[in-house]
Amino acid sequence: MPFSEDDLRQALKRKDPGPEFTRRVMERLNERETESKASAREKRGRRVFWLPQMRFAPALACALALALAVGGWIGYQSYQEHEQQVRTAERQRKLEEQLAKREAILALRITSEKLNHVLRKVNSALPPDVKIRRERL
Amino acid sequence: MPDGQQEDLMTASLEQAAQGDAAAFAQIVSSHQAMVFSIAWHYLQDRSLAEDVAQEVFLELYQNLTAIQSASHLTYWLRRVSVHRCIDLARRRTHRREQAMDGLPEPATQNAIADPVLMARLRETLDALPEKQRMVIILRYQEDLGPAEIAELLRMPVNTVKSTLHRSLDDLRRKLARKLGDLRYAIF
Repeated sequence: MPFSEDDLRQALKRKDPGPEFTRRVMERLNERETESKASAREKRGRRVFWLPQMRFAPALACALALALAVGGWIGYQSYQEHEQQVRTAERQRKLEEQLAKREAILALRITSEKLNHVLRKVNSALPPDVKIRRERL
Repeated sequence: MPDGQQEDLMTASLEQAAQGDAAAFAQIVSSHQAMVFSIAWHYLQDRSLAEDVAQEVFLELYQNLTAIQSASHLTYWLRRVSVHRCIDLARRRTHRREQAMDGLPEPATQNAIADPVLMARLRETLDALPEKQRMVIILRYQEDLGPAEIAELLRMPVNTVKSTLHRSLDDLRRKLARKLGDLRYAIF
């Protein structure tokens, strides 16, 4: 059975979805507007308490890790420097102590020499039966 | 009502709708629902899907009202978006048809059909055509568009549209003849 172009036009004639269609579209429109308002409110509320966007989270994490690494390295360097200073100061203090000790011993020796000299002088001036004896403390 | 007057009215409705007038938007929907729904219905052959697509197209229109400049631009925009939504949906769809056309009531048409058997067979045969051929036939015979307009809507060269149209009609004739031959064989 052949068909004409008019038959095809007739078969593909526009069909009306019915009078309720417009109402259903308007209902969906209202629903969508209500939903979008609610979600906008929710988003605003969420932004007050939470991070606004997680879009930049990987970049943020990388930057944070880098900052931590650099901070750690700088901290370690300054700790090392401080330790070095403490060790140098300790060595210096020990050297000074040793020097002071040597000087004190030398001073004591000189004093001892002087005292012995004075004792010898005094003993030579005294009669032979009277002698001052040197006593150890 | 003369065409010019109708176009002026539609342009006025567009302006009002763009300013948030719901009644004006409802008027636009009501005037174009048959066109949008029919493109989807003839292409998808599924009433509920066609209605979903048509509703989505009008919701999208509501969001783009400010970009529409005139009544003719509105018609062009609605046709273009309907065509592309249908093609997108058909590509996504895994199950070709959830409900057969035969099981559902036919949507209202304006005039009585000449030969109901031929019309039904024509629509069935059209459904068996490849997607692009089907859309070209729908735009040519439902919307009465010329090859140049179809080419613009489908972003195809005009000569491709012409050859597709020619091939589609040949396929349609051949498939319909086979179908009606089978029918005759079944009856006699």
